[in-house]
Amino acid sequence: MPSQSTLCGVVRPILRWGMVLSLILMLIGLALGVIAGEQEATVVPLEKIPFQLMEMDPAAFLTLGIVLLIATPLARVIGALCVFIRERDRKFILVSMAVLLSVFLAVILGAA
Amino acid sequence: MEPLVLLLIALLCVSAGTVGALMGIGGGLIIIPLLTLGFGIPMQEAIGASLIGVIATSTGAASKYVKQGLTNIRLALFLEMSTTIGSIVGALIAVYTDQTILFLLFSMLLVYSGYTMLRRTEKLFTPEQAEAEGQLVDLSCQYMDPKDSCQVSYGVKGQGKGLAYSSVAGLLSGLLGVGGGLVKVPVMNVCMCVPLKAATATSNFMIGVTALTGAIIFYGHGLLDAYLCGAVALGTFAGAYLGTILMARYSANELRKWFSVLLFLVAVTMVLKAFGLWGGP
Repeated sequence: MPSQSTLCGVVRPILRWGMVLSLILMLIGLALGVIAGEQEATVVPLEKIPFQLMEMDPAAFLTLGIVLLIATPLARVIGALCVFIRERDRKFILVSMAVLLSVFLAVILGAA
Repeated sequence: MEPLVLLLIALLCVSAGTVGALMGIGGGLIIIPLLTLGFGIPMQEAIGASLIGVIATSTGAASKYVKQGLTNIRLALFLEMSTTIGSIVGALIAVYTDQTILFLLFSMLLVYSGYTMLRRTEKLFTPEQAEAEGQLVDLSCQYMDPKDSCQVSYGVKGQGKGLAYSSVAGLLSGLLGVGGGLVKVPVMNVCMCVPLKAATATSNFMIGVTALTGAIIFYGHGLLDAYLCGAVALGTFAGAYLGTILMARYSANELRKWFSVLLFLVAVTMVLKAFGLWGGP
């Protein structure tokens, strides 16, 4: 069974870097929006983000920040799963997989 | 939305993040009334933005609490199995439900939350009671109490019950855009024998994953306003950071009383709003 400190060592940097990156992207998006004088937009669909980022669309920067923010807790579940796999902790490999499965279900239902 | 309005929303959301981090909740109880009553934003849009703010509070505070060793990561993962399912169901209901009903449900949640905050006391256990033999999985953990620097070890019991009640916390999260911490913390403390401090930190940690399944569904349905979410997230991030600093210096007990009074007042306003008696239909 992996120790609490091993898990912390993996989970903490994920949380911190996810937070910093999404903060920077959202700040850029808000600043660009204020400069461009438009502050009204729904989130950009995932597949259009790269193209609209090239065009310096503020909504695309904001959306990427939001997507990263949503992905950060997900990434720490995946990080924990890797620790459990390395330590061959069967029960918790299953527990982490179950959590990931329901997130996957949300993605499918969200796209529907 | 005007830049000044966005700035004002971000500044006000700082308080949501601070209170959220201090009490182990997501801060949705503040964000939703703020956006709907204060700025006239439709309920569904407010729930979406609140879920983003809730994830920001959780992420902002969690990295600090994980460092202190208060968070029980395995317990969090175990309960997330049911909170995420609850959250999906809640979000799907919210997307297709009338605003008025959501307002009424939210005011009921506010009254419940205010009540739990007023009467919340920690349940303490003897070593024999905390012995957790023959459970599904071993979730036992230990931490160093920051106040009197003694080592606290505990076993986790009532795992089936914990899973069942956590799905209710998840349902509330997806349905009403909150973190569900006010359900999770008492469940962990009373049913599962987890000390209050560890339960608060673990709840805060879990809120990110619970809210993310709801947020994905709102994102997929195009119900997130990019600028509004950005402003809310930046404000709550800053607030959560402030909250973790304040946590080390002040006790949340005094704050809790005043906060519950505020929740009752907001509940009344929400009911008025539901019946069109506040700020138009």
